[in-house]
Amino acid sequence: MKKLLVTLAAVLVSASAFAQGTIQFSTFNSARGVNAPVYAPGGTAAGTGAGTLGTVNAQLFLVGAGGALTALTPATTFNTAGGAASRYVLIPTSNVTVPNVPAGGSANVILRAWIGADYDSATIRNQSAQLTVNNLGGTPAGGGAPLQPAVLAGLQGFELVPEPSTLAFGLLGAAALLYRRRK
Amino acid sequence: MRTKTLLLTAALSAAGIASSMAQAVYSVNAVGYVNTQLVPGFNLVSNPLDNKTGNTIGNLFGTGLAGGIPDGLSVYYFDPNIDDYVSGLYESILGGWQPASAANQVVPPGEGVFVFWPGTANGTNTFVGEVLQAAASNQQIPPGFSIKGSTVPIAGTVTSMNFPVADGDSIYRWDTTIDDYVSYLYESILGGWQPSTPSLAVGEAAFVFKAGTTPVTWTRNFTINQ
Repeated sequence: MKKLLVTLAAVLVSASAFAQGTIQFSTFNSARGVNAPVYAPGGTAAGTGAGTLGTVNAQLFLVGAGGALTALTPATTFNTAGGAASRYVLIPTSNVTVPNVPAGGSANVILRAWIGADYDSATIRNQSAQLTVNNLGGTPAGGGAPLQPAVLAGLQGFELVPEPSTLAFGLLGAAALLYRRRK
Repeated sequence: MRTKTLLLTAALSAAGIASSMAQAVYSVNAVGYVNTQLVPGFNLVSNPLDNKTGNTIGNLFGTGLAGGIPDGLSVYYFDPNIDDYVSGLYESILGGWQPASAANQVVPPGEGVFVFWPGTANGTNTFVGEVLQAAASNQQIPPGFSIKGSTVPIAGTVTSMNFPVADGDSIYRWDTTIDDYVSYLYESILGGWQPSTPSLAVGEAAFVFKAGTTPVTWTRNFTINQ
C-alpha cells in the first residue's frame, strides 16, 4: 500500500513537471497574426523612444483564477535597432514556459511593459488586454511528439503611461517653475 | 511533402598513388543538391546534405530559398538537451533572424526542423552539399525525443535505412495535409511496427522517440556505390 502511494505520488509529480506549455515570445510575426507594437510615452517606439527614462522591460503574465497573475519567464526587453523594429520585443533565446498548463492547452495571458525594477513599483508602465493563447507547445502530458510553441496571435499593443503620481509630481514641478519665473 | 532529389555530380574523384604498392587509391566525394518543397504552414524537413559553408539555420534556409527568405518564415529546432525548441523567426522589419542566435543553430545532416512556411503558395528550399559517407553517415539517437531523418538523400522504409529499432520506439511523421502527426510504434510482441513500417522521403524528417536511457548509434556506413 505504501509502495503504491509512493508510486502514485511520483507519477503525479512527474505529470505536473511535464504540464507546462510553451509560447514563442514575439510581438510581431507577419505570417501568424501577431502585431502588438508598444510605444513609450509620447508615441515613440518602446525600444528607442524611452531615451533617458530607461530600458523598457517586457514580460508575459499568466492570468489565473480570480485574476491572479503569475510572471512567466523568460522576460525580455525591446528591440533597439530603431525604426519599426523598436516597437517590438527582442525574442528571447528560449521559449516562455507556462506552468501547470499542458502542451496543447490554453492559457490567458497579458503582456506587461515597464521602466524600472519591476512592474508593481514602476511609475511608467502599462499592460495589454487579456489574450487567450491556444494550443501551447511542448510535450503533451498523455504522450506524443512535442508541439511547436504557440504564438501570441491577436495580442494588442499599447502605449506606456506615467502613473498619476508621476504625472502629479511633474505638474507640480512645472507649476513651481512657472511660479518662480513669474516672481 | 514532395521532395525532388537531384544529385548533380555523381562522383568527383581524385587519385592518389601509393607508390610502394603501385596501386591507385581513389577518394570519392559526391556533391549535389536536394530540392525540398515547403507547403504553407508547418513542414518537418531534414537536412539531407553536408553544407560545407556550415549546417546552420542561416545557411540552410538562406540563399537556397527560391525567391529569397520570406517574412514570417519560422524554423524550430528541437534540442533534446533542453527538451524544447530553439525557435527562429525571420522578419526583415526586425532585422532578419530573431533571435539573432537562431541563425547560428546547427542542424547536422540527418537531423531535422519544423519549418513554418508563410503565405499561401508552396515554396522550395534547395539544400546543397556533400553526401555523407562511411562512418560520417552514422548518427547518434538520444533517448527520448529528437527530430531525425536520413543522413543521406535516399528514401525508403526505416528498416531499409537500418534504423536501430527497439521495443517502445515511436516515430511521428508530420502530415501536412491534416496538419498533424501520423504515429508509428514498434513492439515486437505486436509484430513489429504498428500500424505499418514508417517510410521517409528524401529530405523528410520525423520525430523519433527512442526508448531506453542511453544514446544509440544509427549505423548507415553509406558509400556512393551502395
